[in-house]
Amino acid sequence: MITRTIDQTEQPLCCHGCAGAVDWIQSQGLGSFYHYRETKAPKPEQQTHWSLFDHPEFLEQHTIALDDGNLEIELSIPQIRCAACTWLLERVLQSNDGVIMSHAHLGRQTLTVRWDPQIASLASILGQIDRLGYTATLLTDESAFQARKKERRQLIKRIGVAALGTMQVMMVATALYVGEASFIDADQRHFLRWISLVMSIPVMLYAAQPFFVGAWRNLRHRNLGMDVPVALALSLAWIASIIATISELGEVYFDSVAMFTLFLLTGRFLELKARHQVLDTPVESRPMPMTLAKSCGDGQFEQTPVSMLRPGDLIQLAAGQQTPVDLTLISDQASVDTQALTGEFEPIVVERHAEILAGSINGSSVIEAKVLRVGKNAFLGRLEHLARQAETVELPEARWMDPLIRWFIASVLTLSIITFVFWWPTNPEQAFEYALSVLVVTCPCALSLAIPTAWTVTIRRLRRLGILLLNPTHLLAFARSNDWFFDKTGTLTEGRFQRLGVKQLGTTDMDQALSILSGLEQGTVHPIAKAFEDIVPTPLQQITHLAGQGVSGVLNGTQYRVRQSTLEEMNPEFEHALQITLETDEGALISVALDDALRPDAKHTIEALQAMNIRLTILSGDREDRVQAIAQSLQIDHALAQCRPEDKLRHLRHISASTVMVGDGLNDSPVLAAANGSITFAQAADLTRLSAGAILLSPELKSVLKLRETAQKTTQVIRQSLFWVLVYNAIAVPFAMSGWVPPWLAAIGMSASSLFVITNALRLNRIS
Amino acid sequence: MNAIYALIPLSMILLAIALWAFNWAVKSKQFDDLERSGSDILFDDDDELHQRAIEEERQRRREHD
Repeated sequence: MITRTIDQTEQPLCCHGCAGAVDWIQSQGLGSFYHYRETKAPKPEQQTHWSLFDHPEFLEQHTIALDDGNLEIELSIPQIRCAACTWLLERVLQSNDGVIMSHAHLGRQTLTVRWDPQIASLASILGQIDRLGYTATLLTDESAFQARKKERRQLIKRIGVAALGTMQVMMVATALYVGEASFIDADQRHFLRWISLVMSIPVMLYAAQPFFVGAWRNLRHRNLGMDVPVALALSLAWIASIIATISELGEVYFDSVAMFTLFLLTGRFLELKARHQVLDTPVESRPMPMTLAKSCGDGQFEQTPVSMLRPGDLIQLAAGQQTPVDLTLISDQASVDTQALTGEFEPIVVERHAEILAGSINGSSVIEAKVLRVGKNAFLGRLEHLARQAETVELPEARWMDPLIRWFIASVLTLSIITFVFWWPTNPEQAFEYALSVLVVTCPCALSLAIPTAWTVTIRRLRRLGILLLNPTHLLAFARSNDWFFDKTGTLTEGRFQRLGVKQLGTTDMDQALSILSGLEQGTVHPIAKAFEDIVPTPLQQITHLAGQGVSGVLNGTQYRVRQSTLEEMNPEFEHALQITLETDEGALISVALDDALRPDAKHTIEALQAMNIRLTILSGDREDRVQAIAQSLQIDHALAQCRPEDKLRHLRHISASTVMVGDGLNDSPVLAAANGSITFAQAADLTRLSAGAILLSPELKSVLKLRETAQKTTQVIRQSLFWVLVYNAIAVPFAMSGWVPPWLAAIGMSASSLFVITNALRLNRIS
Repeated sequence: MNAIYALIPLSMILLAIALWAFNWAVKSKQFDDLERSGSDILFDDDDELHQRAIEEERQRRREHD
């Protein structure tokens, strides 16, 4: 066994390649990577000829030429999972001469490299990334991501201006409040008011802009949104303060105005971050190859970057390679694994001239094919387009509290007007001031902070538990729904072949026969091979496989073959399973029954959910008998078999209450998108992952229990916060209406209620 | 107390500088990735072994050229 000492413990390694990577990382003095990393690195895939990427045409298409002659590229590296990865990648690349800058982005899982083409080359950079065990691929939707980045940067700038302005205005305000008590000089008071006026200008005219724009948009659509009272309170308070400053009469609210803006912007930023996280999460579940072997005439093939392929090009697809473009088969026959597209793991056999869609994996030996469609027109491109379209649909987060907000806003506005009208006949000078203090003291800040803060804390907490929450609005369904739907293959089951039983047919020793069988299967990329991974293979010669017909090989002059079992050879105990037989010319040796098995934690998870009185239903595209067998072993009463995607959708819509769907196939995407809460696995296809509200990063079904528990805590905290905000307002408003709340008290009340909401949300962090 | 007439305008100049610096920091992408900045402090670039390894690698490359 190969071992290396990592972080002071002896660790086993799978191959010399990995050992090489460990040695290299440690020789660079970067061993602390192993200490700080949070997730394990995946196994690297096949080698690529990196030198191709120094092709001038490729560089021109995919890199940005900077003014000083340097080149820059942003690469997608889906394996960046924690800060240790970003650190390792940056440091290793920067130790190169000629690499001017390398910056890894954790949230986006990308790496930006800038280099001097005179000294370094893209090929050497890509090769180095590969040697570290990471796979770099080209980015797709660049422009949308840049737009989001710009939006975030803009908001951060506004927060910065609001924060700096608020600090200054508050400082001056403190002097004014203290001065009020200790009889400040009228000149000095006048001067300090003018100073706060000047410093509040950038806060109001620049930082608070989004609220005025939002309020205007709300009013134009005749909608009473949160921005309306905010903009009203801000502008009235500010204008009244300016008048008071100039006329030297009345109170000033500059500190409240600035603080108001800062708190609200913070809430808005948290919300933006939660929303952008969904869109920024890379959609590639498995890196596509960056090159394919393209024919250059006379039977020769040359590795060519995928972006340079055109329809009509003849290409070669190696065994186990995934195609990034749509193809027409030229070879006579091929076995195609479409699990990424359909979720079914048994490969399909296609004949010459058949179409092979992008995302399929070649399950036979090398095949030749013509390129049919590339880029945006290929199947994956079209799926991605669909997914992007689905994204632009507005998130229904507002639904959570929309009625509450509207009720709140309407009553605040009405109460202000009542206050004004009530005081006007008896005390016209103070009427406006009292009405204003009602607007300031009610402060919708706390209300607008309650949900985003709780979401942000929950997203981080779930990430630590191995769950990626993509759409926080699904939390409500996770917490409350009592109707959960499960897909079968790949969700309740492992989604791959496993050995159920072995039956001896000849006189050969069973272990020896299994080892030969393993030796034959290891050479193939057929999903059956995975069922024998745990058996030490006996190496055989002349291994040949025919698509859909089995494998054969030679050991010590004897020919061994694997084929489907005949009825007599079958093990009757496993009648639903696939059975294969190993034979020589003398006769059959063993037959093995293979089938998909339940996930080890499926039983426990289902029982726990049933204990919470949740109604469970299986929605599967598989055969009736197989689905019933699984349903019986898990004691689930409702199980529907042979469902097409639209059938699944219909069954789900049958339930009017809130629903949760757990599934992993591409055919589950519509039903995942339709459910109020949806959960999928990390290895699911792109579109599936985009349709889901949460992704389980670990292959453990029981994570859904943690998800439900966390979601319940979150909804509880949000409800508490909203309740306390309403209680605070119920107490504060009568005082403001009767004119007992001076500006400084309004400011304190407003900050205290916002702080309470934030602290309450942070409590979610501490729940064990 | 007349000092405030000089000192407060002075602090406003400092505020302007702070705003300019913040704007520069945002523009130079220092706020683009807020998640990892928290753990950056954990990694020690001054690690002796790392520095030595970089030096060796440079040396090796110079000889190679």
